[in-house]
Amino acid sequence: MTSVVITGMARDRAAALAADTAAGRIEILSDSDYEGAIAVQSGQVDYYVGLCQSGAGGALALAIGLIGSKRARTVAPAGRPVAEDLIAAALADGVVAFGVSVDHVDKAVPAIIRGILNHRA
Amino acid sequence: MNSYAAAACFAGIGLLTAIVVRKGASAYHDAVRPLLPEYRRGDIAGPELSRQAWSVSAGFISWFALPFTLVTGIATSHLAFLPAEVLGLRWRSRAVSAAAGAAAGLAAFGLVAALRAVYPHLPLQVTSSLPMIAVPVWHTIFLFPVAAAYFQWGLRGVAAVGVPVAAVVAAGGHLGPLPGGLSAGGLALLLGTLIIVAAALRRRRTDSAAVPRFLVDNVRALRRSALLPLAVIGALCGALAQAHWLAGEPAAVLLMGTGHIWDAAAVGVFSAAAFAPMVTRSAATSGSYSTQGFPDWVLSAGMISGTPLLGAAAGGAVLSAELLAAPWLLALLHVFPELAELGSAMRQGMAAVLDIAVLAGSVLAASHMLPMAGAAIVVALFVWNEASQRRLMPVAVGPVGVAAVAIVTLLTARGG
Repeated sequence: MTSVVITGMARDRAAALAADTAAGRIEILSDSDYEGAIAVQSGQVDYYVGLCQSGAGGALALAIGLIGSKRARTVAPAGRPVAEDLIAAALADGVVAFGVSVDHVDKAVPAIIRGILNHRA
Repeated sequence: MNSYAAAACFAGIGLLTAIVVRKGASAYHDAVRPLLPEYRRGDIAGPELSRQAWSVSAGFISWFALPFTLVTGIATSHLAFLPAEVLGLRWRSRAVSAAAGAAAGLAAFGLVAALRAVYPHLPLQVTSSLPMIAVPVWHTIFLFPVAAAYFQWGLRGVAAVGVPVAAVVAAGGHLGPLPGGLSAGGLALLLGTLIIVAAALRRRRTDSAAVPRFLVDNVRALRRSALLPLAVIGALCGALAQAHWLAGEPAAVLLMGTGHIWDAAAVGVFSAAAFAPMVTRSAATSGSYSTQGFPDWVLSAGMISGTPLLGAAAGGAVLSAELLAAPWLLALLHVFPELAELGSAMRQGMAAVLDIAVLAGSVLAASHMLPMAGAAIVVALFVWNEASQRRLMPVAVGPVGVAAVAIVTLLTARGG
């Protein structure tokens, strides 16, 4: 089963939102940013969602370092509403680590999970 | 500290920030630091990284740092560092990069100096209202560790931290004068921080895995590549913080702006503990450090010093000690994994309290500045922001609204 690890600020809330959207079709995990990035790097987990204030800093700092910048992208930065087509484009480009501003957690996290479901369909 | 010395310190911070980021040795923005290995290898050119740095910094400068500087006349550290970092990467010539960084630092100084020159000429209605933004923040800083405990451990954590914190706040006036005018709330914030960090040290890693060798080597190498310039940056920051020109997070800026210096320093210590795990680990994965260290205890060290020179010594010493201790902290984070999880919960806790406290203070200030319409303007801006999927960072909505109300007040006064 496809798996997603949620890390960073508000990760428990984000994990609950992700689990609601996934409805059992994706395994949702919650962990620290370091453990989450290691899990994706080693292939134990498929996708990484990091949350911080800007969606670009702490959200992806370790993911970029361990997974690589080409496979990590901020899809919901502070001050910019979530766009589902950007998430679809990122998935098509092979992105596996998504940065989200904690301001957008309610809309961005379900959108990422929907994007992954569509991408894997 | 006179204005010339302050200008020189800001210029020095900008110049050194441009030099260290150009060298790939450190970055202020957490989103730029992870990209420095690719920059050092030549996979990303400086101008391209500069564009990326601008795209992640512009919002922080405009809608996070600037509003708090506008209402206090104190530079937030984002204003001192982020433009210099963007410009430092922009040009191929090392000398032009350094000069552009220094110019960015001088521009930050110029903005703050101009605001300080304008404030005395504003109507009393405006100047007497602005400090009100800070009142709910000052009264709620001790909730930072309690909120962090909730996000990390749930209601069980709130009980364990909330009781001693509430006891210190309740004891308030019976505690006698505290050092430097630290309030009971500030003391409770420090106590709560100690309790939650100690609680995160209870759970040790059960497996015998060690920190990967390359990560340890990466942070050790920083002693050669970054220690000296960062120690000087720490000293300049310490001096400016001591002279009340520079502070870090919004809460610290507001508290410094209203004279609660030691409480602002306590906020800096909490913030540093919250960011330390992420900064240390991103330094290890990227082989580059955070230009101001853990935000913002370098500034806290300056704030509680007696003179700018002592502030410089304290700031430089704190940033140097932090960098030298990075390998040890990396090992500590590995042995006690809950420390890193707590860091995220602490940042979340501080943001949750600040979002509402700053908004409440802003409504209060706007209402006092322009009865009826003032509060309505701030609340309307908040509602618009929520409806438009938060185009502004929530913590900045209040100060932006207050700035708008101040302009309306000035126009009304002039028109009348």
